[in-house]
Amino acid sequence: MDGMHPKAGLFSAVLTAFIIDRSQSIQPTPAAQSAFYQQQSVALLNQISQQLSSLGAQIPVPSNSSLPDFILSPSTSDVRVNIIWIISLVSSLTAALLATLIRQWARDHMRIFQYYRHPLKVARLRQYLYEGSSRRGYMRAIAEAVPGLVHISLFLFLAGLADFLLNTYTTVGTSTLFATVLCAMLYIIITVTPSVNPQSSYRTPFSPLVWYITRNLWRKSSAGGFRFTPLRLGFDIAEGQMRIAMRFGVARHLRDARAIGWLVNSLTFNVEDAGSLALAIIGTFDTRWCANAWVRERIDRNKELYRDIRRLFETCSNRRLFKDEDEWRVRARACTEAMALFVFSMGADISLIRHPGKVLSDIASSGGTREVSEIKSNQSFAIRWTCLSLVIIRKLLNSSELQSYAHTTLQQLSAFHPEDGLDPTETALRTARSIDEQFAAAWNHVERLRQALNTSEEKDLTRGRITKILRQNEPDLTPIQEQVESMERLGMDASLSELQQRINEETHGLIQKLPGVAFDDVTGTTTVGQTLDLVAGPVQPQLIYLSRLLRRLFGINQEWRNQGLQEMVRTLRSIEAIPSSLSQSHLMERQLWRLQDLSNGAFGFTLELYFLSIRQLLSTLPSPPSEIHETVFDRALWDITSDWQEFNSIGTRQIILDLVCDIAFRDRGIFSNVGYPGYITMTLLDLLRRMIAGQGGAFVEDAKREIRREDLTVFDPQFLSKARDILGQPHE
Amino acid sequence: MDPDTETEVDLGFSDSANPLWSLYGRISKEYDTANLNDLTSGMDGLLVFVRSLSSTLSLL
Repeated sequence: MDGMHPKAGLFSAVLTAFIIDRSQSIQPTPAAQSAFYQQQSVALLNQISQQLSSLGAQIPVPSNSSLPDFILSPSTSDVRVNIIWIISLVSSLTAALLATLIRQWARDHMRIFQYYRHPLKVARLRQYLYEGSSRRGYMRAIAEAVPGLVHISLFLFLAGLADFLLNTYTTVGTSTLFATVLCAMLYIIITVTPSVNPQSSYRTPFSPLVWYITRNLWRKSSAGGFRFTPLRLGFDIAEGQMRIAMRFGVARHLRDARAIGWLVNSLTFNVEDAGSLALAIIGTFDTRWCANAWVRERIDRNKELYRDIRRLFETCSNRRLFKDEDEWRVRARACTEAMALFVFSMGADISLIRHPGKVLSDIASSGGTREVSEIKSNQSFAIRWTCLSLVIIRKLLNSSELQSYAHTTLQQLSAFHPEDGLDPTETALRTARSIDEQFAAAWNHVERLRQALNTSEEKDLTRGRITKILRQNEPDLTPIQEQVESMERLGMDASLSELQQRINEETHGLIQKLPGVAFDDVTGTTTVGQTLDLVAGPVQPQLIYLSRLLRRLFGINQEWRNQGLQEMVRTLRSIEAIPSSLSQSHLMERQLWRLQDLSNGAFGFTLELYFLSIRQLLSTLPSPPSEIHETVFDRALWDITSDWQEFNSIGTRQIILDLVCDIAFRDRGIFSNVGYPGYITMTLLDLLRRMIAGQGGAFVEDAKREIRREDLTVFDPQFLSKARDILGQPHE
Repeated sequence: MDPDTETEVDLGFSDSANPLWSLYGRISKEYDTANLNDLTSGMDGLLVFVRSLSSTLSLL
C-alpha cells in the first residue's frame, strides 16, 4: 500500500489535467453564451415593442410569449470521453482512498499489542478481530483490489484518450488506439498466464479471478460434464501453486534434484558454506531416491564440491581452528557422514583424503562408535563412520612395515618345530595345530575338574579330596606345560603384542574404536572364568595371547595354593559348562592365517573386522535396515574387497573359508549365530568363488571337508547349500 | 491425477533433510533478493521518469 498511494495520486493528478481540458467541451462557450444573450435581447425587445404597440391599438398582448432557453449541445464523443475519464478519476481516487484506509486498518490492528498489556486481553481481542476479518481474508482481498482499481483507471483513461483523439484527428487517434490495444492485450496475456501455466510468476490483480474461473471450468470438463464439483483451489494462486508444487510424482522428484543441483552450484564454497552443506547433505540420504537425486543431477561429478568437503574434513584434525569442543564435534561428525556419503553413494575417491585415519580416530574418541547406547542414539553416524573407517583401515593395514612385523611373528611359528622337507607355512600350521590340541586338552582338564567339584557334596570337598582330584589329572598336564614353556621361550605373546601395537599405530587406534571388535590384553591377571569369556564369548579378539591363556589353564592346579582352595572352587563352580566347541575352535590355526594374511596386505583381517563391526551395528538396527544403510554396508564391502586379486594369499583364503563355515554352522566360531543380510553373504560367497578358482591343494580340500561336516548344526541352510556348491565346483 | 483433488501423500524427504532445504531457502532468498532488487530499482527509476513526462505532457 505504501507504493500504491502515491501512484494513485500521481495518476489522478495527470488525469485531472486532461479532464479539466475536456470538461470544457461539455460547458457553454462564451460565443454560445453571447449568441444566447443576443437572442434573448432580441426577444425581449420584440416583446417590449409588442407591448408598446398594444397600448395604442388596444390589441391584447399574448400572455404566453416567453424568452428562448439556453440549449447546450456537446458532441456524443465529448460526453463519452468525459464520462470515461471521470469514472477513471473516481477509480483512481478510490484506490488512493482505500490505500489510506488499509494503512489505517493495519495501524489500528497493531495497536492491540501496544494498548493492552494483559496477555489474555490481547489474545482474546486479537482472536476476536482475527476471526472477524483477517482470517476470512477480507482485508487481503481489498488490498489486492486496490492495484486493480488503478489499472482500471489507467485503461479507462487510455480508452478515453483514444476516443478523444479519434474524433479530433483520425491519424493520431488511430495510432493511440493501436498502442492502447497492444497494451491491453499484453495486460490480458499477463492476466491469464498463471491459469495457463501455473509455474508462471507473472500476474495482474485480475489473475486470481481468471484462475478461479478457468479452474472451475477445467474441473467441470474433466469430470465429463458440467456437474458441479466443489472447488478446492480458491482465488489464491499462491496456495494453488503450492499444492501443485507439492504434488507427488516424477516431476517433483526431478525438480527436487534440480534444486539440490542448483544449491550446490550456487554456493560460493567458503568454509562456512561448506560446513553448512556438510551438515545439510547428510539428512538427504535417508532414502535411496534422495541419494539418487545427487547422482541424477551429476553432483557426484562435482569435483569442487567433493574437494571442499574433503578439505573441511581434513581441517577437523586441528581442533585449534574451532571455537570450542562442541563446534569441532558437530563439524567433524557432519564431515565424516558427508565424506562417507560421497564415498559410498557417489563413488568418490577415498584415497584423496589426507590423514583420514587420524581424523576418524579423533572423531571416535569423542564417542558414538563403540557403545551400543551411543550407536543407538545416532545410528546413521555410527554406520557411516564405521564403514568409512573400515575402508581406511583396509588401506592403512596394507603397509610394508606391518607386513614385515607380521612375517616375523609368522616365522616364529615356523621355527617352533622345524622339520625338513616342509615349507614354512606347513611347519607353522603343524605348530598351530599342536598348540590348539594342547589348548583343547587344557580345557578338557578344566572341565573334568569342574565336573568333579560339582558332583561332590560340599561337605566332601576337603583339601585332601581336591588335591587328590587335581593330582589325578596331572599326567595330562605335562605336554601342556611343555608347550607353554616353548611358547614363552620363543616370546610368542610378546611378538603378537608388538604386532598389535604396530597395527594400532598404523591405524591411529582406529581398529580399537570399531564397534563389536574385541582385544586381548597381554597385561593384567585373568581368572579361568575371564579366560573362558575371552575365548568362548560372542566376540573373540582376532589376536589372542595364547601362551598366557594356556598357562592360566594349565596353572589351575597351582592356583589353589595362591588364591586359596575355596576361591578356586567358587571360580570353577561359577562356570556352567565348558562348551564342547572350544576343543574345535582352532584359535591358533586361525591366528596363523591372520598372521599370514597380515603379512600379505591384511585383506582377510579387514574383512573379519567388517563382519565383526556389521554384526554389532545390525544388532542395534531395526530389521531389516533401511535401504540407505544397506547401500553403505554393501558399498563398503565392495570397497574393501574390490582388489582381491592382489591379495589372494593362502592365509586370506583360509580366513574367508573359516568365515563362510562360521556363518553356515551354529557355534562354530567367531562369526557363527549371526543372521547377516543376504547381500553381504552373497558377496562373500562370490568372493570365495573367485578366490578359490584355480586353487587346489590340501588347504582347499580341508575346507571342502569342513563345509560338508555333518556333526555341526546348520545355521543358514540356504547359505550352506550355496557354499557347498561353490566349494564342490571343479577347479577352473 | 487431478491436482485439485490430489492429497499430499509423501513429502519425499524426512525431517532430517530440513537443514538442506533451510540452506536452499537461505541461498535462494539471497539470490532472488539480489535479482529482484535489480529489477525493482530499475522500475522505481522508470516511475520517476513517467511522472515527470506525464506532468510535462499534461502541461502542454
